[in-house]
Amino acid sequence: MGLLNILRMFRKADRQVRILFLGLDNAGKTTALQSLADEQIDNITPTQGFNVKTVRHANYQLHVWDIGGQRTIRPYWRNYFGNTDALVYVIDAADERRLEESGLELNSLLEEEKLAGLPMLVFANKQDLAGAQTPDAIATSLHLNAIRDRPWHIQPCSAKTGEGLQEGMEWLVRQVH
Amino acid sequence: MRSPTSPSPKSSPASSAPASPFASCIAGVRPGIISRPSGSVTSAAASSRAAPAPATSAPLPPGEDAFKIINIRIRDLETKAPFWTCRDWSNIKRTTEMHLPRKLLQCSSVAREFTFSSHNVLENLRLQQTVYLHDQPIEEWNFEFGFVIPGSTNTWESVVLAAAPEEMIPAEIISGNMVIDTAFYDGSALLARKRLTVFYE
Repeated sequence: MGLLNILRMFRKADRQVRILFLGLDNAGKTTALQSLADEQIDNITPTQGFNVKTVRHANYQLHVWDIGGQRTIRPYWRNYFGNTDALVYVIDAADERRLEESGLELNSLLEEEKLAGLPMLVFANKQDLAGAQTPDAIATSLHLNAIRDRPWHIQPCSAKTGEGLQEGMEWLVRQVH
Repeated sequence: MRSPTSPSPKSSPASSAPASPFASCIAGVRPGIISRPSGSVTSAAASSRAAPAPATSAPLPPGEDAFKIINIRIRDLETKAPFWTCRDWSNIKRTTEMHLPRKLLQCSSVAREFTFSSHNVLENLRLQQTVYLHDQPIEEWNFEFGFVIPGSTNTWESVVLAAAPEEMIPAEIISGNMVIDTAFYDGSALLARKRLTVFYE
């Protein structure tokens, strides 16, 4: 159970940790979260609001928020920024056509005061698809190397196969400590 | 990381009683069923709020609830097998019985998931759940969702790890004597409330 393991890693840190999953529609946020939680991923539909997963053990709690990425929902993202400890930004690495749009959304997140300084994990998702761009190529396109005001990391992954997800989250956990 | 005064989800045991891997659920009820001193109805209260972002949904069809619980699922997290699912909450009474298999008490972790929709924007959705045993509160669980997008469908899954076997309350004591009271509020306005009496079989 991936989320429980993640919770256990947090045990020396804050008693409550809140992680936000954001990204364009169809980037794979819900699939990534379901996959991390060892849940089925064959029945996922576009998120029309939010999905929250809470894991608690003893006095420790992990809350992961996955907010829908459709254009009409994005203006509401800012309502969920408060109290966040870490940000996960999911990108469809196989959709070159929308990479610029994804980069624009990411840039506006980086300018948000409530998210200032928070560690950010970027999932270069859909690496199982032919034509998926490498993390380096995405980092270059999105100018990630220019980010100086927060720890960030780009992790290749496939939310579908689960590859890379745990590694990415482990990096994030180390930053929140 | 977080300042102690910040609003955040919290769980506080109402007493030192051991946690039970209880399964809880709730249901949408029509505002008219709920007695409130103000007499205001949920939909009017919510829609009168100023939304920070644009978008208002189309008018609600007559007879439709503005806030609805769509689905509730209680599962063993190890096997993923659902113990209990309720999909149609529109016609059930405010207090109902939930019959669960005894083997749920042996599960190391239980997941309860609910799916709900809101026609209106909500500024501060929160859930308050109290577990009573023989009318005495033994556990309280509060969760703050905060903002809810108008016209949205949302899910919350909460995974609870079971207490050690020696700390568990025996099924015979719980069955028929444990009531889970779940209420949804937007700020102080009650949106939906459900009391469930739990039976282990």
